[in-house]
Amino acid sequence: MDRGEKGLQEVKFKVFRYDPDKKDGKGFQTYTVPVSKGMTVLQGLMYIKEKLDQTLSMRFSCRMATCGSCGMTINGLPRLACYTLIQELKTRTIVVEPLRNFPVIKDLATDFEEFFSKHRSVNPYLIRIDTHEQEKSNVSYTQSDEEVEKYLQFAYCIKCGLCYAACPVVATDKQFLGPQALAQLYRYLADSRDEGGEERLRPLSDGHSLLRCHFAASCSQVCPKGVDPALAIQLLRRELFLRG
Amino acid sequence: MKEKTVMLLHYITGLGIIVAGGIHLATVFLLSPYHLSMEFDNNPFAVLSVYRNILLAGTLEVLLVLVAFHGFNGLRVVLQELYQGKTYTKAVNIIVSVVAVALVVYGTRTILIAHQLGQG
Ligand code: SF4
Ligand code: FES
Repeated sequence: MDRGEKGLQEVKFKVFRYDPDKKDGKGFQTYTVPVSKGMTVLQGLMYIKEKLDQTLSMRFSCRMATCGSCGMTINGLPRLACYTLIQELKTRTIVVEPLRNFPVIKDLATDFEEFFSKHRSVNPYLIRIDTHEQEKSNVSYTQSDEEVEKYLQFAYCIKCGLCYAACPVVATDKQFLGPQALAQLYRYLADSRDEGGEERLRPLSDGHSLLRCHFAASCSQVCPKGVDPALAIQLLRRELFLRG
Repeated sequence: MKEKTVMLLHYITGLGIIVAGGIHLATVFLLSPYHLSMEFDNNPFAVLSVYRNILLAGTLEVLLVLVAFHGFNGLRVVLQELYQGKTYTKAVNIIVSVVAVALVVYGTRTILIAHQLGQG
């Protein structure tokens, strides 16, 4: 990193720019950003937006790896910009691009419509046979520690889409549900309070939704919340073969 | 056949290839007349005597079926990932199945002929 004015270190941000309204609106633009200790990539981008170029578009909200909206490709890997320290990248130039496998709306902002529709398609909520009891009853559904343990890690998903961006199968097969939706499907299937059972598994027996996974496991590598979607997919596959 | 069943068979045949391949190699290395046949270098038909061994010819046949299923199903999956569409999927399924069956038939015929010649 170079020393800029005020003794701050400087890094170059090479940012992907795309403007759908302009003809040649695609390309990279480089900005020089002063860096302080503990600064995140998101803070660097916010510096650019505030001080250098207000036309830069990106999505963010919580700035604490909770809302899942600041996913982007940073130095070739899908990461949360607010959870990636500039120092940990150890490069003078940081290349920032939109998430792969998502259509780009503008610059770094991507369209999550397909991703969320796949998420919705797995019915990500508790299914009970007696819906009346579920809505009206004041009885709570208790669970043992072991029962919670079966799905807990998958419940930590923040729907950031990093796993979806890293998945090579999503890149080629649009009908593949993707690691996030499949992990959520397993999360509810493994929940002892859920009565969806075989109904949840039925849509998976076509060739594309689940069975196309090639065990690349890149989804689990990039998840910022420690969720292991690759494991969920293998567990789902076992469930499908045993009782689907 | 249901896609789920095809993929289950894909995994089973994958494991089967390891087992049958192991038995086949063990047969080749441990049982005569394979190593003897290599010594008959003046006789081009000597290697056929290998096929006299029913275990060797049998595992070769099993391997042929397993590899054909596993390999062609793998190819089918790759092709289906390249492009998705109802007619295309159907065409890929049919073409790949026909080629796989033809290959198994032709291979079986070859093994049978070799087995018979090996007896002679
Ligand atoms: S599984 Fe992990 S990477 Fe995938 S959407 Fe959820 S939190 Fe993000
Ligand atoms: S801004 Fe919310 S996860 Fe990064």
